[in-house]
Amino acid sequence: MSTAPTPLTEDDIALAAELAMRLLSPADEAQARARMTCDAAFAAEVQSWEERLMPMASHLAAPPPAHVWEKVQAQIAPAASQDRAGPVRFWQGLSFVSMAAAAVLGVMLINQPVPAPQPTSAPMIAALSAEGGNAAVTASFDASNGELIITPVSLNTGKLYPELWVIPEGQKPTSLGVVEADKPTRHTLPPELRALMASGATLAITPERAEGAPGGNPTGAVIAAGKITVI
Amino acid sequence: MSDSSSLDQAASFIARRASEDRAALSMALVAAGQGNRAAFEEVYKRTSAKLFGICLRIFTDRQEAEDALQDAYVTIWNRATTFEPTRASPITWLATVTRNRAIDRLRARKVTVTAPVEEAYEVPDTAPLADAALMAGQDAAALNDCMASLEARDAAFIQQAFLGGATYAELAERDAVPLGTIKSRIRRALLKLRECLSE
Repeated sequence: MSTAPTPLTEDDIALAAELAMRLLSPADEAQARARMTCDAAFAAEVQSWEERLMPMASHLAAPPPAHVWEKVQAQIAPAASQDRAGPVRFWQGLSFVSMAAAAVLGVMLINQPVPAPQPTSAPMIAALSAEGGNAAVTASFDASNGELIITPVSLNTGKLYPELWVIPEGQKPTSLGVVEADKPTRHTLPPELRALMASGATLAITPERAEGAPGGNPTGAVIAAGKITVI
Repeated sequence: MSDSSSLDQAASFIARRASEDRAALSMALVAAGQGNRAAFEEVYKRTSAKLFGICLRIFTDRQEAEDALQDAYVTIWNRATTFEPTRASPITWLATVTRNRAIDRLRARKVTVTAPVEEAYEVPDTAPLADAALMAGQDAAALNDCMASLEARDAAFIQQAFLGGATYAELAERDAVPLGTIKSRIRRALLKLRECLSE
């Protein structure tokens, strides 16, 4: 209730319907979809249209052949080590989430002016998962320019703020700063922090006060963590 | 008198069952988002017939509909973490993901293959609801009533676009109507539909 949302006009409402219906040309659709990411009222109206119109499909039903399920099962990554992620596995074996993040971030990185790949400046990624294996945050790091992009997937720190830490193998955590819980943030790391970003190091998030943990040591419990992987 | 009260009882029983089914589906979908494969299989068992029905309506070819359904469930598995049970009904969320994936495939394919143009628009579907348990029956009945209040031609356009995945451009081409005309007709009809549904 902090800020009153701008009421949608009839044009906005019709556009939301057109987007939910998929009536628009590819260019218009892309534009409307982009608006959904920054206009919550518009996004909610699109979702309302989906709820309004989907009963039109209520009479449709036909059992699919059994081999569809077999193919679906074969296609979703095996998650044997993910299903029961205990406290130990929580810090390890994030291969499934990492692979999914690699696919997503791989696409993101292609779109950026990354210099010719060199062994020392290969892009790095990490998928930070919460206890239970849910993806919480993805991170991508470009060693050639020190740019770190943090993208929250599902991150809830309540009234506190998410602080990101890097933990090189066998060392203590070093803060990389407070990030946003609900939108991607871009940081350029100073050289001394860049040196800590290496394959095998762990990224972790703890809930902290707005200005970050005092004295440079985490005070909150780790709510998400994942290892850095070189793509 | 007793008839109507037993009807009420039956209706409330059905409504309770439907709401329990939706709650169970919501929980299974949330668990699937946490990587629980058994829960995901439960989601599949409860919804695959409905979602296959949607794919078959978009792709008349059975093989393409099967491929689209497979693609939809893989997408559902990957995106289940984004399902918010407090904000969306599970079946609408699943059906929306499926419909959008199927339409993406349909449109990607059309770049290389010219799809045949359907000859006629169909009468809006007011068939009795076979599977009212997951999609609230009263929602479908209200939508059907409001669709019936539109001009039949507009209702048919909306239905074709929604169930068949047609764009404005395709509807205009099929019906040999200028794009601007069809666009303003459908926009007007959709706003009217919204008003009717809010009553």
